[in-house]
Amino acid sequence: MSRQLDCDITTTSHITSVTVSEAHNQPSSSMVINAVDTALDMGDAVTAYVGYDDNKPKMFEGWVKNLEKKVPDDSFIITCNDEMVKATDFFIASNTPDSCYKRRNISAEDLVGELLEMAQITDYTHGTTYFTFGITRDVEVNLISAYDMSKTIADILAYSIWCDTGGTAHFEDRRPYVMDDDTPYKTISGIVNITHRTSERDLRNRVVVYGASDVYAVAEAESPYLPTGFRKTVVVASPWIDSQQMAQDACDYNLDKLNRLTEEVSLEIIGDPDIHARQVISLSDTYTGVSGNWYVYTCEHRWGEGGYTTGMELRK
Amino acid sequence: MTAWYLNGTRITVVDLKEAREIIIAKLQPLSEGTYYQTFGNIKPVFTLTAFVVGTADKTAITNLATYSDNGPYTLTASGTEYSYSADFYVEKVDFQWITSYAQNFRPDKSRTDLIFKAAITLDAV
Repeated sequence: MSRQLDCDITTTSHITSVTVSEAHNQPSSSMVINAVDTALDMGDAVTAYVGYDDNKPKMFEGWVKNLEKKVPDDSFIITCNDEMVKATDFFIASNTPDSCYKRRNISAEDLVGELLEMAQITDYTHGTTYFTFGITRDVEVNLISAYDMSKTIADILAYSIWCDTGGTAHFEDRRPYVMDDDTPYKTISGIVNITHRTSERDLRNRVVVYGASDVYAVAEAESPYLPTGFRKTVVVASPWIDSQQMAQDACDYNLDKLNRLTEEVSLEIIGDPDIHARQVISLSDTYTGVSGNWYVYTCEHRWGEGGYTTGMELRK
Repeated sequence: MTAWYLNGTRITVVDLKEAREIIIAKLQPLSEGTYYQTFGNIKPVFTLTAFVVGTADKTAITNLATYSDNGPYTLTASGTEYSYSADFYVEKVDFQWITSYAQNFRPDKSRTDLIFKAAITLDAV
């Protein structure tokens, strides 16, 4: 099989390589371009269509964050980040300590929406959390970035926050593994190399939540992968958890998310521009014996004169 | 008779080779056949053999290859049997002085002008 590599990137030509990195645990997806000619400058909007001449979907949309010119090569290295970088760059600091951002009786999704809007991220979609902050006292937000604050809220609820390739921000119940209602996006083929491993590194079977004064909760369970009675603990501490029910829910959600063995597959395939982090894909490999549905935890598209390959870390 | 000009300088082309070059990456999946992926410049590279009459024209052609950013330049051919026009960078020029008593390539020039045989490599834009 022979295919011609092709890509289109805003006002950039003679492109020698493109690397797009996405990950479940990464605040913002990134793209690094090596090219001979570009009219891109700092802060410019970038859209990249990467793949083959017969399949070149939009792979990345974002902003130029770093520009290097190499001499004597006379080439450029352009580093870009997706829309979510605005939230990591936007540091919330009120004019005076007494006039900071405050909200009362606000749902988690609306609170995240307002924080993102401060960072000029308005294309936003979310799940329904049924979590209300600021019931007994104001939620005050100051001296923290919009992303860090939003991520803190997401961690309390075991939610995820990210931007997709179209630039839409998501705040949703997206766990870093295959969930019950997930259906595979496609079946993987063209595996160049593959590694399978299991680990209890990220397993936590005891969750402790410290909320506002006198609000705390604990959830724990036995793990078949640890000695009986042994606990690996994680703590969620936030003054915005101001009711006992919220604290207990946060414990239960995070215990459900974390009390599991990490089963991972690292693999490299012939470049597939339709695959992105946070998708669920199907895999069947006779060499390692792994099969079934897998969650794409990280995804890196490497496109250049060495060919086009897609590297992934998958989780069950 | 086709008249050839490189950036406005008349040359008498006696040989023309056109080549294309691409990079082919070979990827080998574990359980499938080899994948070939083509990458890079698929534009033509022209290698011309031409006669250039007079030192002034020789200098004009030589100067096209002095700096790579002084281009691209247009190669045109016009005639009843063939016509062509495209922009190229001049990648390489080799001149060889040809011993002669008189030239008749260019009736508009002196018969005693020097004749040079040039090998010119042109890289398409």
